[in-house]
Amino acid sequence: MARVVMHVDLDAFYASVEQLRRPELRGKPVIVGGSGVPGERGVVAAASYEARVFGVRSAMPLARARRLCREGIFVPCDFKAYRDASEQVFQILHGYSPLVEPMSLDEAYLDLTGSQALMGQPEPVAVRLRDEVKRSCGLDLSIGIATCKLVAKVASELRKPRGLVVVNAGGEAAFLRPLPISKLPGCGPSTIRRLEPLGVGTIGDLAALPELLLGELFGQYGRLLHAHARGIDPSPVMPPGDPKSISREVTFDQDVLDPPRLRETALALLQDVGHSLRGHGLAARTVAMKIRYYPFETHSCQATLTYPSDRDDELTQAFTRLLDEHLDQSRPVRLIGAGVSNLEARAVQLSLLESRAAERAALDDRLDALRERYGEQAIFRGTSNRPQQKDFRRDDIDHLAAERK
Amino acid sequence: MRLTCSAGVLGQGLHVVSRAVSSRTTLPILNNVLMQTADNGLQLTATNLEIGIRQTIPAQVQEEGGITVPARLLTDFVTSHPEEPLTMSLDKKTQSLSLKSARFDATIRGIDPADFPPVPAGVDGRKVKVDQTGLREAIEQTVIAASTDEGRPVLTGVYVQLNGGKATLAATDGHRLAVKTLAVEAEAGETDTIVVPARALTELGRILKTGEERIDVTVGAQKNQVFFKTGDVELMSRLIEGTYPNYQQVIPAQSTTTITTKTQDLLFTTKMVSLFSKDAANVIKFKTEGGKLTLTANTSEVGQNVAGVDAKIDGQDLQVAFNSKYLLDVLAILGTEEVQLGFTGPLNPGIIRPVGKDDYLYIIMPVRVAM
Repeated sequence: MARVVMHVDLDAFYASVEQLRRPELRGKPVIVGGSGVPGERGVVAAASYEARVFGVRSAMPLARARRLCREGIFVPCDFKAYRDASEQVFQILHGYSPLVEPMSLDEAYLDLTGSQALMGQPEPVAVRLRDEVKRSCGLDLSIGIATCKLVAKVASELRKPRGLVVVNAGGEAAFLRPLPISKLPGCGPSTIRRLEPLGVGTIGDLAALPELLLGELFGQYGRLLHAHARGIDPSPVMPPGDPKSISREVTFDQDVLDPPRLRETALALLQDVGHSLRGHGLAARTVAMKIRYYPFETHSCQATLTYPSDRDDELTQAFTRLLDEHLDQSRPVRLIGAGVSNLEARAVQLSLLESRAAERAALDDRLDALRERYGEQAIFRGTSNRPQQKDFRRDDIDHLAAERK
Repeated sequence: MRLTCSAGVLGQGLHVVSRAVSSRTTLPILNNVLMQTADNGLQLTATNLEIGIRQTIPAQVQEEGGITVPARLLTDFVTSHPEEPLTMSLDKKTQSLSLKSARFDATIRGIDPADFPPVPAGVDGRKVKVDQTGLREAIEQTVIAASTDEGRPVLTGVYVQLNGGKATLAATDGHRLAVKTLAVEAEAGETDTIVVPARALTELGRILKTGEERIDVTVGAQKNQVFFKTGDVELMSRLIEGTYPNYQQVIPAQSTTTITTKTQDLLFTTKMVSLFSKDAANVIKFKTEGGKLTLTANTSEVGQNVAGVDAKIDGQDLQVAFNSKYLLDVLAILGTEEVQLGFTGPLNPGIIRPVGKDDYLYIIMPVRVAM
């Protein structure tokens, strides 16, 4: 039986929440980002559809957004409000399927396979869901329905806002064929740059390339691209559970030959990992580093800690040693990643005689609280600079238990 | 050497001294018990070089002398032997001890007592007298907190501070701390501090009887030995060198949440709940909310157990986690009907006291977990 996977994506989420609680902003170009002052550094976190008309996009510097949209209303991020609104929406989503996989505050996959007898056909279900969210939360969302996560996501992106696109079983490849490759999830600017000389403009062009060639060009990732271009993605919809490992990696738009910058970026990623680790109430025994050198040569290495830890200072220490030992400073780096594995429930016996441990743990908790309130990029330790969002694409990977099975 | 004694009395004596026999040693004679005739009977001595125990039992001595024989074999033989007179004689040439009774004629090969390490029969130094019952309780309540990790030897001991008519015993393994104060009979103005191996005190605790009788304690003038004497039993121990950590500074001055409850009830509940955290570092969570105390333990692979405890709760709501072993240890020896627990947050030390007594406190450091 073909699967029924639904991708739900809230439209201009942060901006909509702002318009919802401040009626005077409705129908106006609202730009959410940074401290809300366009003169300051920072990037656009979200733009209302009224602002997008002017060409304002997410991740664009605020100053540029101001130039594009003189009458734009700039609003600071309020993650607490977005989190609350998101929670309401997810409560509704859980009424439609027991299998809900949150991807972020405003995005989720639902597995509706086998629920037709109970719920009805997917399309009317999607309409009901969209109406219920609008009625209860006042928010618009777009929905894509397909037999796999990848195609459902492409479908939901296609007719925003308030879009509803259904791709029937067997029609996946035909649905993707005419779309530009930039619509394919995971296909970033540097992949596109490498595909263009081969005459690849659409996903159909990509699907027509031999798998062997893509494998040669991109390694493992090439084989994945080949499958994705044909609308094949067997990954299951997985509700969040205790992860087996947590990692973050970035692919740079331009290869980087700058060890201090690589180090800063990697340590920022590691702090992100630490935050997620603590959020799950886990501690890690193993710290890992991943580096991909130009053109596509990937290296991984790991270090084992004496005791499981969830503390930034201890993870950083182990990671720094990996960097010092394994980073080849003479080669341009395309991707760098930081991760932890061998996870177990956190249970750290505190010491009466060495009180610093509790203080350091308290510092991590305080930093986490700030990130939860003001966003992931709100604060970093002095050793690492704030990574420039426009520089790279960040991939969050919480490997779930089921993935291992 | 030739003497006659009761098998039963000898068996009891061997039982006491053989606690000091080394279980693993590279020096074979330390597996032996030294038997020497004395004025009033037979003196039994054993040592593992850290502690030594000596007891004199009544015996009819016909000829003086001494021998060392394997403690294990002698003890097994004597304690299995019927309660009747036993005659011992030594063949000096072969260094073997013959034991004769109505039905048995045994010979045990020994080692020359001249090779036995000297165990002093008493030391010169500062003397105090302590009530046996009180000392036994103080030992029981403090040795639980001492470390068993030889990596930091000073923490394997109990820190004893003598101050006039008062002695304070403190022990910590870095995760918990026990402090007990008891009255001693000493010369006014006497002050001294020593670190006694917890193992020596544990053995002393087994020897001590409940009763009014006092025990003599002598700290050697060299400050490397301590000597305890009660009736016909003596125990000596070397002292641990090193600076004891300043434990006073970790004792919280006040608490933001206090819980008062029945000791036995909390002990029972903690035991029941902690069955579910054996594979998870024994972690047990305490939660106070709306005047109720809840104990929880869970392990994702095992399951969980949640229990309510009748308690009087003052102050802020709180969630804190502990190694349940540390809690069970203290609840088992607290000795009062009610216990009071004081906390100031999930990362700060908690304080446990027996209600109605101010001579004891136990500090326990939390485990940092996800709440």
